[in-house]
Amino acid sequence: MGGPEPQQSKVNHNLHGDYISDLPDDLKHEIFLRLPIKDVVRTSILSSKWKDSWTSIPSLGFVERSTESKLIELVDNVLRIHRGLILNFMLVLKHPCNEAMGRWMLILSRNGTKNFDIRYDGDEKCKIPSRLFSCVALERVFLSCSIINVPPTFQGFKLLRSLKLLNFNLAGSSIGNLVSHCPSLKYLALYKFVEQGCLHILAPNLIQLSIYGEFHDLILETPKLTFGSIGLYSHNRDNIKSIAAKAGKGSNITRVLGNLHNIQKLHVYDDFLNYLAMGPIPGNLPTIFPHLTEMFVPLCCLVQDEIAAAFCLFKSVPNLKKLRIEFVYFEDEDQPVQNLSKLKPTEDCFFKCLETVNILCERNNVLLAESMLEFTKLVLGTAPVLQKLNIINFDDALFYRKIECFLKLSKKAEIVSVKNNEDWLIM
Amino acid sequence: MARSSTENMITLMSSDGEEFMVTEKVARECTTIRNMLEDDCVITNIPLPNVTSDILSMVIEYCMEHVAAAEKAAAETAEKGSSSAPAAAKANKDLEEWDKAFMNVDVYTLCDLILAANYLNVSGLLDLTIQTAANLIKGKSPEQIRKTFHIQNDLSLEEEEKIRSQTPWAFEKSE
Repeated sequence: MGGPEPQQSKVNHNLHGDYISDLPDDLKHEIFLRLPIKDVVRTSILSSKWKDSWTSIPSLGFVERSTESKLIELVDNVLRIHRGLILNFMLVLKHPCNEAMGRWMLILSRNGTKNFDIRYDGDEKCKIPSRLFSCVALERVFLSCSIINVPPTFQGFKLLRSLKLLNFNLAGSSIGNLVSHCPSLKYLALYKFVEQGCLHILAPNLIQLSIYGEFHDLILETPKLTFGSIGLYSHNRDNIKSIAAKAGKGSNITRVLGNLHNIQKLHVYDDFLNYLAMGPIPGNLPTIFPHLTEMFVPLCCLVQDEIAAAFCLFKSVPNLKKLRIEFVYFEDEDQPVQNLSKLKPTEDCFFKCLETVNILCERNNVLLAESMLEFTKLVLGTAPVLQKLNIINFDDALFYRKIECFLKLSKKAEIVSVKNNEDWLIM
Repeated sequence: MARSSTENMITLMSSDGEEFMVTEKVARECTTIRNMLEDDCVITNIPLPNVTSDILSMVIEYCMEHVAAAEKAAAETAEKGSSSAPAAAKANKDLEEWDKAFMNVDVYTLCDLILAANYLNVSGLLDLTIQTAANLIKGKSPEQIRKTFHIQNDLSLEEEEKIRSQTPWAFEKSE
């Protein structure tokens, strides 16, 4: 074949004028997409071929760099000159721009906006006008630090595929109500929120769910879910206990996870395991999760119920390949450390596919070390195809010497001490 | 890279009639060609009337480098059972360096590559060339941009003034 030619300068180009001005608008727009708005608009003065090129770009993004009034003036100005569809609209704000937001939203609702992204990190929350809910073409929405006012006339976002809300308050609707009006939703992320009551996620097409917030109860009607990452945050653990006292609905673990037949990855954070452990914990779940291969679990080694819930889950996950387990400990608990060795698997093996395990503890602590040892012993003794057991950020020579003595069912199992703040990257 | 002799070869023909023999794997880096092959798997000769031979040879060079890098990464993963993060990071960095050196071209060639990458639908190359063009514009004054791309300013002073007055903030020295 012809090898790479020497890259000589092409003198004949000049005969045809400059090339970049003659690029079709969609390719010029691709260039604009990678530039700040100021650079984009400034190209209007290059030549007559550039004069109007920018005015039909389908994506507009603004970053507040100096003052609120300057940004408002700039956005108003651009929206006035812009022609055609505004498919993507993004704002990075330091001030809430509450008044202006209403008229921008009106323009967007008439211009077929599909992606809407407002990132705001000021002191007060940014009020998202109810006009947002008349942008019926929306496919992706990201809002941070906002008060979102859902109007009673909201008919739903029929096309919305991705919704990400961070540090938000909803007015006029519950989270569940909003979600159930978005039947095409595939990706949902809710961070830093308080839901006084039950968080009911009814989303028949959802495949990825991330939740991290305060809620009292959870119902997942998400049969297609493949990746769930759920963290329950509570100001103090007594809250969780009071929720438990109120609940009395039988086993949470069965009720909440029981219908996730397609789940492939399940990450549990903070008090969510505690929540799952409420109510009577069955010896076995009525369902198994045949596709589930990766789990993150935080384990408080003081709470018998949490340990029981975790092991109840492990038994229902016959194909688990990767497990990340974090040992946590609360000073205020007055219970003794639970003895993990009592939890020997009854069936011959529930870690039969396990290949990688990451074990973390939140700090070097004698009690945690004891639980970690028990767990390590259990994994090494029961996982026949284990390849790697990573102990993350834990320095204790004695600990490692003890581990060396444990029986290993898998000849290939390697124990590695890892220093890494992002341990899941090595999974 | 060692290549098995059984691999399908495809001939690409440039607008000026030059023929380039490439492996099907390299040709498939161009989504436009991949779609043709999927529609009709017996094609072995593809005319590309929109791409000159010097630009086509550069597109092929890019595709070969990226196919080789992907094959090398796959081979390493297969050998060690899992990919090691530092090795993968280094390979990525090497490829980035290669891309950067590959973009050391004059602005005419750059524009031709943008058009070819768009026509042949080589997403990596399109992204690389568009980003390179954007970098030549970012933060530059209109005079600098005109000089870089040899753009003739055909606007009258009145027209220029009108454009400036429509979006005065865009022409302020700093925000």
